[in-house]
Amino acid sequence: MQNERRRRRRRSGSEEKEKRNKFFINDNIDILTEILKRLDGPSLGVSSCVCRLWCTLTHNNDSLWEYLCFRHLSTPPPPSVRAMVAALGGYKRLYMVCVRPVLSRLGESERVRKRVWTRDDEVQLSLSLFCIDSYESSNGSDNSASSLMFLCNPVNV
Amino acid sequence: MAEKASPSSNSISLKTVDGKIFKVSPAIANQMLTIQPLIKDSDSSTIISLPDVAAFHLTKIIEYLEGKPAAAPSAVDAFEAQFVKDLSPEELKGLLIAVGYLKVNGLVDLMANTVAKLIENKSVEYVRKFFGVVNDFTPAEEAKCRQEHAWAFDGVDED
Repeated sequence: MQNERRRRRRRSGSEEKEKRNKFFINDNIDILTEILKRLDGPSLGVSSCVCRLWCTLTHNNDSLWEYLCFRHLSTPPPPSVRAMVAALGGYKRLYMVCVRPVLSRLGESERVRKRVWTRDDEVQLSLSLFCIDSYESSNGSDNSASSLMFLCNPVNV
Repeated sequence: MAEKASPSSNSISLKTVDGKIFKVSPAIANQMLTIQPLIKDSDSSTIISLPDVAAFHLTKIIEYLEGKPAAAPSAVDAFEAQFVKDLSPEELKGLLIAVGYLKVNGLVDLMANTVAKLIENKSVEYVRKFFGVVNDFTPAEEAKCRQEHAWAFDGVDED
């Protein structure tokens, strides 16, 4: 009788331990964030649709998109840029409006992407486009003929 | 690996969740940022308990810290590539949690990069299954979320 009880106690103890050792990513938000900030853009977008927690994280944590915008750069822009980007609508917006269209046109080739996108000029370009976009939308003008956002559209050279 | 650490009076004892005790040199223990403050006040009789780390994970962490080449980035890359190659996805995930808890120098980066590569270009269902995450969206919420991120779903791998 006593043996039986002891055995049962031992068993529930080991089950508890097993449970504790089990991997639950959603119990470890810091680590989940470390993973998310290393994903490429489409994978981060897909991750938003995994569950409510992941959706909230990708919506509220703009620094994930900051990593994404500058992941191909050898030297990220100075921290002072952050305040400006935040004022213009945040890094997710910067990615969607200015970085993604350019990157997707550069195509799949990681080699081309690395060669082009690591140049500091490209940061300047995307930030400039971002300012233009923000300025134009604050004016409420949707006159596409005068819009400088044509710079974001494909061109045949 | 732990046996290799010199049994000198200033070695640090670490106890894993499954009850194993590892003796490591202060130089190794100091690279686990979470326990760093505890090391200063400990003597040879102190045992530091690590509630979130299993013996297997601590063995791997010590193996990494002791084996990582000091110089030449190319040697480090080769060592790290071999280190993660030997781990199954299950082991990777468990090790990532342990490494995150201990805040191990350099290893958080390596593990998070490796796991991120495993879920890049995968479907939502694949990612859920990989991490064992339950879908807690209502169908309407999920549809809205997928709609919002429709741009992300081009070129996702088949499961």
